[in-house]
Amino acid sequence: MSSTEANEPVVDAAGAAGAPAVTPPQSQGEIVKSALLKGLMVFASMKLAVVLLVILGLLTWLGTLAQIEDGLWKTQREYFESWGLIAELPLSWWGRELGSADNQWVIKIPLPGAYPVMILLFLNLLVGGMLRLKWQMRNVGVLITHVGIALLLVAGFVKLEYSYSGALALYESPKSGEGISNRAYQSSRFVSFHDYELALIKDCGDVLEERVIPESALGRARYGTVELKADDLPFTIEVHNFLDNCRPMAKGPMVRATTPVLKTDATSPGVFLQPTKIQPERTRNIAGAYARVMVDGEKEAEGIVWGFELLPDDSRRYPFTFEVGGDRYALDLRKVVYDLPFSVRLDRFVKRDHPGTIVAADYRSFVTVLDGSQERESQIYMNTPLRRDEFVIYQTSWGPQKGGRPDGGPPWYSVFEVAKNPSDQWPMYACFVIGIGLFVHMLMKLTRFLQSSTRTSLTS
Amino acid sequence: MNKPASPVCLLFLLFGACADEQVVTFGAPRRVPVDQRPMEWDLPALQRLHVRAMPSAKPPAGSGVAAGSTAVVANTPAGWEQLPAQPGRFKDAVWGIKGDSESTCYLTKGVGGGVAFNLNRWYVQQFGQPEPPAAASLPEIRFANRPGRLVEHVGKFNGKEGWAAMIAFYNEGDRVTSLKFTGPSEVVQNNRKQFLSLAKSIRFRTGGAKASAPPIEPGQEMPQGHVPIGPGNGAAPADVPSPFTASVPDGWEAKGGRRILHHTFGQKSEVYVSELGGSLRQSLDIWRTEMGLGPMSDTDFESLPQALFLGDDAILMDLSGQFRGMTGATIADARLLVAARVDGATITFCKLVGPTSEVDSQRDAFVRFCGSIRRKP
Repeated sequence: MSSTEANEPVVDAAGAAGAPAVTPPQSQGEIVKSALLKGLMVFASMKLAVVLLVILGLLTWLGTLAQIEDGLWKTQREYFESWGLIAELPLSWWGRELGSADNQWVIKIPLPGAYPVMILLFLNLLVGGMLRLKWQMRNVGVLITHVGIALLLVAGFVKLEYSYSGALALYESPKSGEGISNRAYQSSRFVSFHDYELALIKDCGDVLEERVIPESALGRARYGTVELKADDLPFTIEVHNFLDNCRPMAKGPMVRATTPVLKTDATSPGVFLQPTKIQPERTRNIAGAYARVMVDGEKEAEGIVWGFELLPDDSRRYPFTFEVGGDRYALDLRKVVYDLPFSVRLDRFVKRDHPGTIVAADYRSFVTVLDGSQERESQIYMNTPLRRDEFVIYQTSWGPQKGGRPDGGPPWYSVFEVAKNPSDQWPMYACFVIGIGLFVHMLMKLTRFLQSSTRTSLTS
Repeated sequence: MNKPASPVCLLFLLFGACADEQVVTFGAPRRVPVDQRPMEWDLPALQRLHVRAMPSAKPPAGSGVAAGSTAVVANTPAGWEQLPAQPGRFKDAVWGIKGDSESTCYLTKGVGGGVAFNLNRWYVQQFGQPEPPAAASLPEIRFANRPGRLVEHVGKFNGKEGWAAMIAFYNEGDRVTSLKFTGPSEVVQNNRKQFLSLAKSIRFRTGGAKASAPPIEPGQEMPQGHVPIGPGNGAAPADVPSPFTASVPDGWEAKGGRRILHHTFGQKSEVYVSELGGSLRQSLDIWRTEMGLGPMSDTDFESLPQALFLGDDAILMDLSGQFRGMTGATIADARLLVAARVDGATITFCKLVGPTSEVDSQRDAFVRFCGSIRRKP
C-alpha cells in the first residue's frame, strides 16, 4: 500500500471499505442507534460475504457431484432453488469409494440452499455498499460496480421467479405438397420441459374452452384424491393414483396390476398404469393419473390420463373424453402449454459436421416467423437466438441424430428452447455496469497514483 | 386474527393437511381456437394410450371374432385382389396379384419386440444378411395413415434365390405393424407403385380394443418359422416330440411331459423352453415378480445383456431372490436365468430356475444350451 493510500478507508476485494469507528454511546437513543448500527454492520460485514461465497462454492461443488446421480433438474431444485438441504458427500480414498455398492459411506452436510444465500449476498452487497463504503467521489467506481453486481443478482431472482421456458420441435416443411398430416412443421405454441398440467377442455364448436390445474396442485393425488371443481361446471373430477413415471399396460392373465384396472369394454381384461422407476432425468418420466367424473355424487365416467408427448411426429393430443349434459369434454394431462403471439415455421435445417466425423460443427435453422399477414425469415443458431415479442428462441438440438436426410433418411427436425424472461438482457446490462464501474475505479486510482508520483518526485 | 382463534385455525390447517381428499378449483376458463389444440376425441382407451390389447383368455362365446378385433379397409390396386384374411397365421388382411400364385402380400398388426427385433428378423433370418440397417436409414413412406418406413430387398428370401420383398411398417411402442409383399423379383418390382398405394390406403376400423389376431388356440396353425403353441401357458401336449434340437449339458436329465426341452438337474433346478403372449417387457416383469422384484426401469431393460437363443439374439436376464412360481412352488434362495426373444407375436423363452447353490455352477452351461437350441427342419 502506498503512503498516499494510508489515510484512505481500507478497501476489500469486493470493493467495500473498512468499518468506520463507532464512538461510545452517550444516551439511550444513541445506545439503540449504536446497537442497530452494529447489527447492520454484522449484516454488511465482509466476513458474512466471505462465508456466503464459501457456501455458494460448496453448493456448486456438491451440486455438481449430486447431478451425476440425480440429474440436472432434481439437483437444481434441491441445491439452487430450495431454502435448505442436507447434502451428501460420498467418501472415497484415492479414487476408490468407501463402503459397499449398496451402502456407500457419505457425509451428510446441512446447508442453506443457494436461493437464500444469494438473497443474503444481495442484501450484504446493498447494505455493505450503503454503510461501509464512503459515499465519496473517489469511490464512485466501486459503487457503480456494486450496483452492477446487485443487478446481476436481481436478474437471477427475476428469472427464477418470473420466467418460463419450454421446447418447440419442428420438422422441415416439405418443399412441395402438404406434407404428412399431424406432423409439426409450424407452431404457435411450445411445451414445458418438465412441468405437467391437467387441462379440462370443453368442445364449443370452433373454439375450445380450456381451464387448467397445475401439477403442483395435484400433489395429494399421489396418495389420496384431489377433487377438481369449478362453479360453472355440472360435475367434479376426482384425480387419484397420480404417478410421476408410468406406462399404460393392457391387463393380461399373467400381468399383475398394482393400480386400478379400468375396463375398456365388456370383454377385454382392461388397462392400467404401470408405475416405473423415476428417472433422474425428469424429461424421461411420463406422468399419469386416474380420473373419475362425478355428477351429483355418482360416477359418470372414469379414465386414465397419461402425459406422453409425441411432438414433433404428431402434434395431436389423445385425451380422456366424456360427455356430461350433452356437452363434450376432454381431460388431458400434458406438459404445460404456452401460446406464442406468432407462429414459427421451419423452412430448412442445415447441419455441418467436422470433417471426417459425425460431430456437428455447426447447425442452424432457417425459419419464417408468421404474424398475421406478415412473414419474416430468420436464422437461428448457436448463440444467435431469435428475439420477438419478449420471447427468445434458441437453437438447442435436432433429430434424428443418426441417418438424417443427407444419408437418404427421414427429414430433419429442429428443436428450440423458447423462453420468456423479463430479465433476459439484464445480465448483459449488469456486465456493462460492472465494467464501467471497474473502469472508472481503475482510472481514478491511476490518476491518483500519477498525481502522487508527481508530488513525490517534486518533493524529492 | 385474535389469539383464541389462532390455535383453532392451526389445528384446522393441520387436519386439512392430513386429509386424504383435497378440493382444488380450476383456473379461469379461456377460449382457444380449435387449431391451436389439435386432439383426437372419442378414441378407445387402448388406442389413445397407445396400448395393444393382451389376447383375451376367453373370447366371448359365439362371437366368432376375438375381443377388440380390428377391421382392415383399403383400396385394392388395379390388377390385385383381396383374399380372405388368415388371422390364425397372423395375416390380418391378404392381397394377391391376379393370375400370380407365387407372390403374396399380407398385413400383420402389432407384432411385439419393437422395430430393431423385427428388422433383425427380416434381414437376418429371412434375407440372410449379416445385420439389419438402422431403422432411421430406411426410406420414409406413408402407411395406414401414419408415417412408416419401407424395407426393400432383392435376392435371397427364405432360401429362395431371385426373390424380392417389400415391407412397409410402422411401430406403436414396441408393436410393429407391417405390410409384407414377397414374390419373384420381377413381379415385386413391377408392382412397387401398387404396393405403396395399397400401404397408403390401409385404414383400421376399430370395433373395440385394438388387437392383431384372435387369441392363440391350441393346435392352431402358426406362421412359418413359429414354434407350435400348446394349451395353457404355452405348454406342449404330452409326449409330442419337441420341435427343437439342442446340445444338453452333462448332468441335465431330460424330462417328458408337457414342457418343451424340459430338463432338471440337482435337487430342485429345472430348465425348459416355452412361450408367452404379450410383450417382451411384460414377460420379463412377470419373471421379476416371481422373484419378488418389481417391474424393471427403462434403463434396466436397455442394459440387459444378450445371448444367442434359437440362432438369434435374445435378451438374457439373471435374477436372484426368493422364487415363488405361478404354480406355488417356492425356493428361498433362488436364481433365475432366462433367455427370451420376440418370435412373431409371441415371446419364446428358455428359463432356468433353481437354488442359487445349484444354478451358480450351471450358468455358462445354460448360456451354451440356449445357443445350441435350433428348430428342427
